Amino acid sequence: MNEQFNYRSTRAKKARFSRILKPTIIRFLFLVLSLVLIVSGLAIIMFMRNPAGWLCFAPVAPFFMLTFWNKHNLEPLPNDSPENFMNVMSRDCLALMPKDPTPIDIVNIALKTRSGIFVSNRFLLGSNILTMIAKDLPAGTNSIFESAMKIRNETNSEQITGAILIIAVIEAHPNHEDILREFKMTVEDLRQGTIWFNYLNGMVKDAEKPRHTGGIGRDLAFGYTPLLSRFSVNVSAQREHASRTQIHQGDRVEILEKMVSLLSKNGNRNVALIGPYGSGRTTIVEAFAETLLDANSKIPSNLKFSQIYVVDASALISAANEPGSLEQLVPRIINEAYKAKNAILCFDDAHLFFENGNGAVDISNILLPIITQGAVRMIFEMDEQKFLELSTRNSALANAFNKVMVTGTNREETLKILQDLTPSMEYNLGVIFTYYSLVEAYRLSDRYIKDVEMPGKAKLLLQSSANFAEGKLVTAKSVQEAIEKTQGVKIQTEKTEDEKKKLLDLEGEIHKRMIDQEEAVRAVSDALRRSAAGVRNENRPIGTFLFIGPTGVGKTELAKALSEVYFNGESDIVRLDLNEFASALDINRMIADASDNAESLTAQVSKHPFSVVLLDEIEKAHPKVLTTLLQVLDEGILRDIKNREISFRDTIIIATSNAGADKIRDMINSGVSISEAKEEITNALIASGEFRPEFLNRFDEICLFKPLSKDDLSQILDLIVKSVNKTLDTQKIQVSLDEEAKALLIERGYDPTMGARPMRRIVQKTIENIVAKAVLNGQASAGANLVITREYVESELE
Amino acid sequence: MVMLALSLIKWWYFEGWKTFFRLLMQKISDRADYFSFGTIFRTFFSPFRQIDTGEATTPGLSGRLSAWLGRLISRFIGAIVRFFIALAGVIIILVELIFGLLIGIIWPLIPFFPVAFIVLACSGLTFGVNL
Repeated sequence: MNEQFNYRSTRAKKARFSRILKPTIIRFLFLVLSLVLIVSGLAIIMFMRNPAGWLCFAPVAPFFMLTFWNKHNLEPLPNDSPENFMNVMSRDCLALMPKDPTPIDIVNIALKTRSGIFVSNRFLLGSNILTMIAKDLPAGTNSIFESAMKIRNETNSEQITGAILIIAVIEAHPNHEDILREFKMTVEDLRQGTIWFNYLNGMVKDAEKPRHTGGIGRDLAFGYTPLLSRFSVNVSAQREHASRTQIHQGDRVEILEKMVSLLSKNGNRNVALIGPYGSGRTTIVEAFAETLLDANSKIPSNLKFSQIYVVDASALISAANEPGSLEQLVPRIINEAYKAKNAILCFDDAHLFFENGNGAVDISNILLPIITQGAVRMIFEMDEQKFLELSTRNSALANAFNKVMVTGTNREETLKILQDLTPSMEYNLGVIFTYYSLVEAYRLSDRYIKDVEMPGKAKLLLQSSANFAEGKLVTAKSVQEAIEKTQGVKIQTEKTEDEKKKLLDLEGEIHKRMIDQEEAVRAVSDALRRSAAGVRNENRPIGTFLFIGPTGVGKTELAKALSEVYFNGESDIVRLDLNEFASALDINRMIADASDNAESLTAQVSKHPFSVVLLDEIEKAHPKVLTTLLQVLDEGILRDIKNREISFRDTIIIATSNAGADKIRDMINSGVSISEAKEEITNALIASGEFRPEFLNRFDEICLFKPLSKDDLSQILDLIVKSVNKTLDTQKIQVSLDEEAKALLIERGYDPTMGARPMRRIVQKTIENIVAKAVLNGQASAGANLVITREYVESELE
Repeated sequence: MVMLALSLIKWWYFEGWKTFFRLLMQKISDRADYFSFGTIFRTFFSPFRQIDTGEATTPGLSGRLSAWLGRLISRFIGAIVRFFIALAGVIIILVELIFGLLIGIIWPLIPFFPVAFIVLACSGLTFGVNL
């Protein structure tokens, strides 16, 4: 195939000529001139009796011919056969193409077309980048045109548009994959962008076609509905003038067909759309309203042109403020719907009509006989959970419904729906969404937003990301910022220099508040770095660690330090003392619903999805509790008592245990290295039956904490004094220890079996007491620096 | 320019002519849809906007008679309204069709109009009023 650009082809000439005729002013001039000429001609002939008047009519016919030709042939410029590059190139590109186009010319031309601008905006491919790519290409354009033909076929595009030319130019570059990778794009994404443009373009063309919705004879046969209109919203009237609702998925089409079938039959003429919030129930009702209004749709005549009224529960409640008035009002409304002959009542959030409470009104007793008789067609929209509750409360009513299940959409369907919605969302929000913002909205909402189904949650996230637009452009980063702000998680892998520095020196940051235990500190730091760099497995927690060691050696302290340094502060740590879960029955308490127990593990993690989860004294938990935790360690998911999935995938899970502490101490004291001891200790814990192998195997790493030496204790003492000084900072008092006092404190505070805790207690007993007395007797005031000597300490210890 | 002019002429006598009749038929179809003849004739004797089509409000023969009479009047009004709508629709569509067909018939002659007007100017033909 050799695709040559032919500047002199008839199609190219037509395109250029159309460009001349296209401006509205030219067409307007033609019209005005034609009218002036006709009137002048008639005046000259009729009033001046001069035959020269006929000459005025002469140009009118060519004007008419040119205008008609331009509108119906030149502007659409249909494809010619055979199908070669010149015969399928779009008019806007062809009209601008010079005699011998270069790759740079092609880029510049493409960026002047609607499709080219679309792809450029949606993929942030500015003219600078594209020109840079085009400059590297050889002067010939044949390969670009050949590639454009290929892309056109692959994307099922009608013509070669500016968008296709841009992609063809990029693909012509020998290193295009590397270049695109730099911008985190793929060739396939760009093709999807072309398909997106074609799709929106098709929607625009579709909207321009006249709609056949029944004409002026339609409503003459149907009754007036003044009362119904007061307490409801006529969706059909809204959809009659709105853009068409797009239904792509096979199951949605099946639902529409089922609705038509159920509502057109005699008998139980109702449909209950049961599905989670966000699954698109309302969109289905809107699409159904449009189907009923379409004169060309193949539906039974008794449904044709029916109007769907969505009943407003709050309007009913506010109108019926006296006892018994609701029982009078509702039958009147239903009677009006019945008499109108074309009204379908729709109850959005239908549970509001079957229970009493805020914003709800129970009219089930009125509705049940009407539903079973099928006198008036009705549609109910309900959440699955609410339907189950209704089934247990009022089985007769639940059984009277013709249930149609509405499920969420998958990735491909959701992206298609988001692409549908972008024009209206962009218009309403005043922003432009890039292709990757849509992809990211799907990915992040799927991961972080619970209780709402797709596509609703992706749409909600995309809407909220408009608040984080950069120069009215919603990018993937805007979506990430939106989810970070609303869900309290950290997901952006692009870090500031400070953040990068902090992450690279995480060990140093942690050691500012804890001593030694290098292995454990490195293990958690590595896990965080992997997460921050986006190289971890996203279907598991950030890291799962089992810290084993004697008491007081820093296991809990490391979890707290981690929370302070990287997560949202020490207070945000999710801590569970598993010695409180020693019975199998305690599992219910661990996975309790937030409304019943705000301190349950699932409740805390759902509130703080980005946190350190500390499971203290894990060896004391009941084996069934540990079994429950297996899935969390493995997949980062735990189901609460209401069977809702709670994600632990943005947490670091740290379990601590004192099991085998004596053995660790003996081994370390006898000179065995940590790595050697770890294997032996692990085997011993399995052999003793304290932990099952499958449980230990779930952890990313088992970290052994060694007992503290006197040197370690000296450093810990410095940290404790530093912490005392931090507390005293508000009073501007500083405390320091002389070497002898320090030595005495270490001597008294050292207990190999208890770790650093005795030291903390002794500091409290001595230093803090000394300072307290000094403050009270006036020896220490603002600006003082108290040097504590051995004598002071001794006197307090006596 | 010659090639473009030839393209225009070629298109005018083949695709252009077909396009004109397609647009004419589309217009007639849209107009027929607007006047919704199908619905109007199917519901010709249906009560007008379902006014007074309820059950008898008072018991007994007089009540039923009154309801029947109400429905009869409603149907009569409906038929009258529908008749005039249909009549207006038919007239409008006929006028558009005749006008469209006339243009369609003279379509092949339109390119010759400039020459024809020049000939008329040369022939000295005039008409109209004497001032």
